[in-house]
Amino acid sequence: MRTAVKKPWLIAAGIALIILGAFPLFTGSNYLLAVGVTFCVFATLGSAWNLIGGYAGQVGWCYATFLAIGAYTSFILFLRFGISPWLGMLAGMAISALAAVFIGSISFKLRGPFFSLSTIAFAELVRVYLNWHKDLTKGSNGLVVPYRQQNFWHLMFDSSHMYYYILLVFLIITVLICWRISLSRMGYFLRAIKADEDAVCSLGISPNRVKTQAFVISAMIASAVGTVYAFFLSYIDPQSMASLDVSTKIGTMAIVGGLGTLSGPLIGAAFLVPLSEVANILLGSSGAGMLLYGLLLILVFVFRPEGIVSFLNWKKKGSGPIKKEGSSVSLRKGGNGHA
Amino acid sequence: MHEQLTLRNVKKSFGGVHAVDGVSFDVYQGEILGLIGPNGSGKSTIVNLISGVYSIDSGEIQFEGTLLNKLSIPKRVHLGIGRTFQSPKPFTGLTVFESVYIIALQSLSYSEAARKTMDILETTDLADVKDWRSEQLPIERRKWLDMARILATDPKIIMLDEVMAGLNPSEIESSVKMVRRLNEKGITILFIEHVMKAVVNLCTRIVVLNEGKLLCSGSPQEVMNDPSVINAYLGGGMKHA
Amino acid sequence: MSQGWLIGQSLLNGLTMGGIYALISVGLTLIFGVMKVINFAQGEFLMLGMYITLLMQRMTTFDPYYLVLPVAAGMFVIGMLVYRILIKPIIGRDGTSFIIVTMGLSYVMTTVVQLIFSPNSQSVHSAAAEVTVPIGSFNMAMPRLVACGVMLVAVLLVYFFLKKTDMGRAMRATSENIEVAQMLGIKTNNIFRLAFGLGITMAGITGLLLTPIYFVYPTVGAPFKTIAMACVVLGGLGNIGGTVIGGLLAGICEAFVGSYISFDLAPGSIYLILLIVLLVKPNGLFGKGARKA
Repeated sequence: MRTAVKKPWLIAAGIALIILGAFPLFTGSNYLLAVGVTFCVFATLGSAWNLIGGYAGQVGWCYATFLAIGAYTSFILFLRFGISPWLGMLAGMAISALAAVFIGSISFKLRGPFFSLSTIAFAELVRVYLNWHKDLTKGSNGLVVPYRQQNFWHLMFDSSHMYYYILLVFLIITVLICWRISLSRMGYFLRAIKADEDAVCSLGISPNRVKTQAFVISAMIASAVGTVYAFFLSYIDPQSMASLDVSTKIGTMAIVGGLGTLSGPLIGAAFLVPLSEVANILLGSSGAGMLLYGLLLILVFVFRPEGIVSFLNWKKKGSGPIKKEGSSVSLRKGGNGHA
Repeated sequence: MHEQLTLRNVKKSFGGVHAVDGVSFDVYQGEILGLIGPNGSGKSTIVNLISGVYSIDSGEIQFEGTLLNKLSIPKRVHLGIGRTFQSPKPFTGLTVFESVYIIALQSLSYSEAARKTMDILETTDLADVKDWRSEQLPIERRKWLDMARILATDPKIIMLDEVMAGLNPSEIESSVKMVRRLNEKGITILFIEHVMKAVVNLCTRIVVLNEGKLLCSGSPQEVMNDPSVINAYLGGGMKHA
Repeated sequence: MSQGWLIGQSLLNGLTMGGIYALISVGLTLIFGVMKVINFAQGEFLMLGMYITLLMQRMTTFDPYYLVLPVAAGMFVIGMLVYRILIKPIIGRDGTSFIIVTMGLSYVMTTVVQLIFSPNSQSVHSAAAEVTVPIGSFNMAMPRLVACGVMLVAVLLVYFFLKKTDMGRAMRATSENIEVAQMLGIKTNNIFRLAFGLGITMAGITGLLLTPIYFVYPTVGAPFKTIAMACVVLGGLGNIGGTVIGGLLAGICEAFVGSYISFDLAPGSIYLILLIVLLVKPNGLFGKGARKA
């Protein structure tokens, strides 16, 4: 059933867009712009993660891998052959798609915690590889793209404004993709898979195929963001791109904001990214942001599994009244009482 | 009537225990076949073998001439084999309408699927609760929702795995009517049940299993009077007969 | 240095490192076996064990090995407390919730320790640290041998506890079927708490045994965590014997890849093996039953 977007959400989205679009015009501070860029990056990554982790309930921790593939592919192609990062981005997306198919072919057979574990194994394998293949990646020293001159084709700009706007466009496109998917067959299938994979299978839908399709789409998004983010940073290394910390951050956006909702990752990122900056300043250490992520993961999951977004719901979903007869369910749950 | 589903010498064991030990029987097009037997006799294993949850160790299962042995679960569904589970598996978070709608969406456009969903909800008496969240339904109607979802796959045969268990007499009555209605639409029913009353009233033919083997088969009256059946059920589920 | 010597030395290094992996993994498997959940903060509890050892050593100037009882007791209490505050509220939810909460806990622990002790590496002095034991023509560092020995003792104790004591039997019953256990009058909540406490204690003891070998720093536990999870899956979840073999296997693999291919690639070998095992034998090398959570 295709439902129209509720009006309050539409207004909220409009206001958010205006704020996000206008914010760089009012600040010359590169620091604030960098925070804005980080917001866009993690909101996009969180939305991509949410397709699989939220809608389908397959909580994987390997999205840093796709980010790293996007970053490293475009960096290496640019540094070695002078190939434009826009083409590098496409190459990275293709590699990420293949990687997603490969990871999915093994991991999607596993359920719950074992799915999570296998994705970590993949992610760590990629990180170890990036550290090891020094000819290509310079290992833990990382890769630097030296700044030459402003050139759109080379993804190089004098100020952070352009990066911010490019990433904002990416974010908007990603949200639109997620919105379309959530109202499509795939979106319904993913939600049904989250509820009961065996039942889905017994009704003729192949869960692994649906999951793999969604996984490929979200991996490509993460990879594309990785390219732009890497050129914004102009320096990448395995720790900052491919580590489990980064994967956790990405998932945290959606988990804290609200799993399986369109706005969840956006709210999560709007909340977490600035707050972790504040935490870093207050506690005077760059690791302090992780304290915030950790605390919020615990607090949200122990006390409010629906995430921050559940505070904002104007109207409760599926307002079916529970009739009296529903209360007798528990009495007869025994099932085999006739045996 | 021709054979729709045939099992030939089907075997399945779990860690040395022979759950199904060389069972053969046919299911004819359009009939309501009861599959009964005491707990642990292999009824549910057979359902799982036919639907593809387990793979068979040896033997053959054919559906309308197609060998099922190696087919995946979804492929078997597309051939027209549907099943329910002993305990209903609602799509938590989806409404009753959506639960059926997404299954119909597999092969239809959005508007066709919506129309078909409403038809199915009418036949399964769920139209009045279509906007409820599926996990809010009472247990009886959850079982009907399971059936409604299967109907959306256009099944030729439905295996009902203990749909009557846990229902009170009036609910059993209405469920029996529902099964009849489905059967009248031409759908073959394989009815796996403990509740003997329903089996005797409903089934045209009965297959009895015991300890993974076929005990006997025939019309309800023949089976009920068979001494070996009475023996196998001694003190068991006969009290509902 | 002959080829044979390198093989032998790698094997020895691998086995002793594997013993350390086995010890932390047994703690993880104990928690998994009973509660059917994976503790994603196991490596951070190891780190905490190292810092507690460090603190106690600074205060008492005893050799870390003499501190094993107080450290174990401290870790046990911490484990019970964490269970009471964080784990108990989410019992009964799916395994993913548990992963997310313990993952959150791991970040909190790392950063809190970092804020208190600074990110710098510190070392714990032990008289055993410089001692090497010649075994034939091979040399083995004393602390690694001690760690291996403690691992064997700990595994035997756990085994004895599970097989011979009432509490252990109750724990096994809970692990087999929680509903039946509850019907038999077993207080499964207490069993969970005990299993969690013991699992954390094992991580803490592993931390103590590592102090003479490793520097102490806030993120020291991270690699151990992922390796331990790999060992648990390799060994077939909840299977203590299998986990020990998984740990030894991981250690040996790492040592051989480290000495023959590249030290950088060594940790990757464990993940690669894990993935291959998951691909061909999804229940682990010694696992049984369906891998469903």
